[in-house]
Amino acid sequence: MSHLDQGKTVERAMQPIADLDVPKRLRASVDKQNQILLDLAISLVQAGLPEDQVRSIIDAACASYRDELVSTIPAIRAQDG
Amino acid sequence: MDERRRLNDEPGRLAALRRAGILDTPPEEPFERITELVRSVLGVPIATVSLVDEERQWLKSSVGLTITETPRDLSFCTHTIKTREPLIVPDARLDTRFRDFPYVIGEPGVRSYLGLPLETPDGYNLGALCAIDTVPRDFTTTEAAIMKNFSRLVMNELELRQIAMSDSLTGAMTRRGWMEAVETQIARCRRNGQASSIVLLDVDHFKRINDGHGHAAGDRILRGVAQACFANLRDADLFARIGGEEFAIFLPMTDAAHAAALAERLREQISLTPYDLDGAAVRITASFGITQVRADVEGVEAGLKIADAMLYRAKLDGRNVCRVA
Repeated sequence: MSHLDQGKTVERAMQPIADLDVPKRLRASVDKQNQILLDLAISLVQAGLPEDQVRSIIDAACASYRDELVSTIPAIRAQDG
Repeated sequence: MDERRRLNDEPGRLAALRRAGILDTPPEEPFERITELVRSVLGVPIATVSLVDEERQWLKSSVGLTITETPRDLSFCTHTIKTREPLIVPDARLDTRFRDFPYVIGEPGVRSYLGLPLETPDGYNLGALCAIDTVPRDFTTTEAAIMKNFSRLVMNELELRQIAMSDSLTGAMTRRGWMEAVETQIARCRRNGQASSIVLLDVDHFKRINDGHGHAAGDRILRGVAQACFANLRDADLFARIGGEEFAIFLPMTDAAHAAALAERLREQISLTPYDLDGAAVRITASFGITQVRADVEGVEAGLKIADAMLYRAKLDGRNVCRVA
């Protein structure tokens, strides 16, 4: 799996988040999540895991954050008026 | 504070753990998912998200274990949080720090351990993400790197929650975050036989400031009041903006008399601080309601109701005063 492929795997996992209108206060957190997932993909590849398994792990790792983000956005919007 | 001092700042670390509002909360999907990933990726029978409290290790999530906490002095993680590096124990039975632990000698027969500190952005280790095996094992640096990234995922989840629980104008907690964290803290103080208190404060005639000087001026006043509170509170105290111009403080290990003394200091400081609004030096005041959380009172809602009644009395008594239940 090339570095480009790792990036694409992360991009695909993060796609539902990219479609969200993320408030400014949360953007740094989303960027950080992106970077962590990329680093995780790299470390999994370095450990010799097959590509489809790396994809499935990244998808699973991203899913919980995505759910948390979706529930956080309305709370932030309510605060920011 | 430098890195090493923060590693040794146990009161600061415990305060950061309290602020995270995660202790003694039910199992949650995000953390369950990560421990399951650790188990499957590293091929270990046991994985945990462990938080190191004052005298115990509490497991927010675990697979392969039925316990939810252990005494702190019988935990691997209390060692993990002393550094920024992974703690690798290839064989616990050969390690004098751990070989006599009951769960090393007996069930589930822990033999090897890889733990990564769960570090906050300001450098406090709240606990550890752990991969545990029941056979001796040399965890590799590659496996440690994977665990490092999983631990960063755990912390990014927690940080996302912290953002949601923090008021963007003042930096105080939000009402929802405060209520959740205080509920846990009241239960904890009760368990330990410690007093705790709630202070409510409301800026007097705030509408006049907004109407007379505009909302930007009102915002400055609210930030100023919050700063005065932050400057006078301990790390372990929980401070929130719970309404437009209303703030709440939870004071663990504090009886009503000490809470009233703090409120009086705050009242005086707020009333003496001038604000330059439209070229004029404007002073504001705040009214305070205080209550000790009584043993017979159930939870934060009830405590807040009593403090609110005292705040109402302070308003009736002419404002810029403190009233204690």
